[in-house]
Amino acid sequence: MSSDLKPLSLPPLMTERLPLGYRRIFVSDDILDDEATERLTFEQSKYRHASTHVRRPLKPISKVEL
Amino acid sequence: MILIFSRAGDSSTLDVMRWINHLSNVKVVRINADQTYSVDLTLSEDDFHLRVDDDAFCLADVSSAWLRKGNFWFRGLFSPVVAPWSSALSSHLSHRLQREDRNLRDHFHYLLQKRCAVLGSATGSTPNKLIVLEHAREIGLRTPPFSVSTSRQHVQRLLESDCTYVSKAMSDGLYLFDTRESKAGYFTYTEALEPRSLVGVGERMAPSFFQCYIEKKFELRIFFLDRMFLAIAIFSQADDQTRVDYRRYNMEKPNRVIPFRLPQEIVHKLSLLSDKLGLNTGSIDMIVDQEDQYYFLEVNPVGQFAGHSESCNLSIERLIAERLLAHEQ
Repeated sequence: MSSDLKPLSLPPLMTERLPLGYRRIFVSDDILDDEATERLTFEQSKYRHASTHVRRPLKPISKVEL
Repeated sequence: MILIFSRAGDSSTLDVMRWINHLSNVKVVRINADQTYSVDLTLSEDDFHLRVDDDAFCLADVSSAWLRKGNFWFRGLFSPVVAPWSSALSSHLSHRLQREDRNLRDHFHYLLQKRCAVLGSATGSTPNKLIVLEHAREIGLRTPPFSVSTSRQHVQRLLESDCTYVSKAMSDGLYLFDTRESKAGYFTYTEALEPRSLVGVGERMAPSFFQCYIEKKFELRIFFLDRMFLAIAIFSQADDQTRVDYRRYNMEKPNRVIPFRLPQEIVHKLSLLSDKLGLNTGSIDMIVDQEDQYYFLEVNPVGQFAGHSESCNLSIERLIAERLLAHEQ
């Protein structure tokens, strides 16, 4: 995950208001794609409301732990 | 019946549910904090009746509840109210309704805790990091010295001292998946404090947290469930990318990660700490230095455990499923 992380360029007004622990914000564009925003319902009907973000069916996006 | 409160994107919840499905036929209802449901709720002194979309149940039906992610899971019970002729009245009503919502949430959690086996933190959030460090010290765990300051001069003094320091968030730091607009992930990490950290910093800054950097032999991530403490050692020290914060994963050459047996003395102290914090599950970060001294860093009641469970074959998801099923008739 970290290999595709880029430091975010922040406007000075934003930077000077942030504590030091928040001044270097990293961004990754690869974590989410259009498919990842789809919601699928878990196929076992006894589990109500078991929807989850998926990159592709049956492969939860957040499997790669951050 | 098992009630699970989580968030839609949490795959560990799904993994635990798969284990429950494998081990039992018990009914599971999962409610995600980031989804909107049609909710009917009637709550009395010692019971509640809930209908969430087409699932209806009462407190007596629930044997175990897992508060995995989120805070309160029934959004929109109180709709925003606007008094067009008075912004003061609108604002005051809004605050009052928030307090109504909080009281309802607190009583709901209270009933759950009183009448069924609850796993997880009812507050749904991380305990105050600074107070936890104080509790850890009282129990006899070593902690790296820390300070919080608004002063540039304070930072300069730290930089000129013999010790090396890191800056980090006092709470959880930034960890955001923006699925709506930018479709990107945003993160902050623990950072080494260096002269360049002061570029663009005036004489005063927002209160910032600094902690003495411990030269590690390795670091520990410890998942705990009741009195069981499962530790893994992460050899992050030799890689510049992961040396300060192992979560800046090196995907090409990952850190070596192995299961680790904690000394009994540390297990005992961590048990005391989890009791003091009222936590029955969570993840603890520790460091072991070059002299084999153990340092406590922080505890996260809702931390991620999937990667370590898989890499060290800990089967944490199964343990949680068994804990939730243990109270089923």
